[in-house]
Amino acid sequence: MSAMGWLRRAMAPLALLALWGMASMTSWGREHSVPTLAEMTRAAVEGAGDGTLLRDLGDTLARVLAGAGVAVLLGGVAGVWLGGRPSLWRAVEPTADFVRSIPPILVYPLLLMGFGYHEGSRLAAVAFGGFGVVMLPVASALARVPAARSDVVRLSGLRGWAAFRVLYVPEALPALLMGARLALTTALVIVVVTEMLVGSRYGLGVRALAALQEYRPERLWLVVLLSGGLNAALSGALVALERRLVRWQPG
Amino acid sequence: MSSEALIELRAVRAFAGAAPVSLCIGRGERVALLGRNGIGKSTLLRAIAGLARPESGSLRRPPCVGYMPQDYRASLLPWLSVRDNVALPLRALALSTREHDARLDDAIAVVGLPGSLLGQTPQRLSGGEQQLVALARSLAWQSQVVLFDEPLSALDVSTRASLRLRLAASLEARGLGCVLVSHDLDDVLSLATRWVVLGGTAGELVEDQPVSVGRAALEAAVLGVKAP
Repeated sequence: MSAMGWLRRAMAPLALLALWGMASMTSWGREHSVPTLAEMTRAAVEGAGDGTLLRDLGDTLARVLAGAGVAVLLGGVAGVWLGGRPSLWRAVEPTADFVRSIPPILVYPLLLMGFGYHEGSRLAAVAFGGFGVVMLPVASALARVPAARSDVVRLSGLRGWAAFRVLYVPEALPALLMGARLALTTALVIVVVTEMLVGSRYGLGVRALAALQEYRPERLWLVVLLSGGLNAALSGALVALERRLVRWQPG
Repeated sequence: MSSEALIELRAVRAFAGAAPVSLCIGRGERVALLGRNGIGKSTLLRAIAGLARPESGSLRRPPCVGYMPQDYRASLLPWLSVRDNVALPLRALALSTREHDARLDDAIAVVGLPGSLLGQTPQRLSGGEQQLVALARSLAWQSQVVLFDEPLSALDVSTRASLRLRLAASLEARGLGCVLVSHDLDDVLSLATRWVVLGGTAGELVEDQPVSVGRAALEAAVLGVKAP
């Protein structure tokens, strides 16, 4: 990217920072607990210095990656299996859509009641939230493979893994990567909320709750920014992977 | 069934409501299938390819056929290069590199695909170029017969005229039979040795003639009018 391109990209965040800096210095800002940039910086240095910020970030990241990883694995396998059977997929699609529509955060108390207060229940809630957003697009993509394309592969004599690799893996890949991005975003939301609810000693959600209870707005805002940054970084990594792996896709 | 017959259809109804079609296609014979839109030519071709189960009747066909579908654009794999798309039918065969490359180069040479396109992906090509890729792929199949569904429909007039000659010569030289679905009478007269017309209300076989009967007879049959 050219220097002008970088500058154009940097303009929006710089403008936001400037707006924030100005808002925090007004009486409205002080009344509504908007910390100054200096207070935010102090909170970040403090957290980095005692190691708690990195520990909380690491715990949240580990939970997000584990939950989204399980969701991508199970959702991908189920999507490929169902998408490869278009008539079955048409029959179960409305049910799958209904299950995907259930807010995963409501499933968490059910899991706590059914399986107990431990990390497994949180992991299951996160995986549940990501499962549908991966499975549905993958199954839909495979169920809509053009007949002319599958006909030609079939007549070429390729069977089993060879046919799967040449046709179904590339057909499913764009949907899988898009689903993975959504699963990561969903996972971050569920992890942070469940950390705030119950059963965690560390994590960004715990940190946010503590900041609220101790009335430390600069710490709370720091968690907000870190969560956004974490999501943007994970999403950016997947977009980069997508650009490498699915070069044939327009745009 | 004749011992020389490669494909035999006995009272085959390609879909519900279609008339039964009986047809025998010999080894190396090149048969054009004509008829108005929606009469069932492509469905019959898919049945011959083994891709669609006929509603009724019996169908005998060789285990391996080359195939070029009507929807040639969708049939190309956008993640493979043009060269790899053409080579798709060779993947399942245990060919030596030399054999593989010879068959591939031969198929590419027949359709006249420029070398500069071989490393590109199909979506970067024009519609006509994509059709050439699909046509080259159908020729790469190691089969005794190729099924073409409107194989030259997207080509410009001059490319089409020269390709007809090269394709006919290649089929002849390799002793390769074909079933050709086309609405273009010049394609039929250049590529086929025999034509059959499906007509009526349900696609019954109304006429079956060698190409040697001439253009007037073919035109008359297609238009549903008897030749003088």
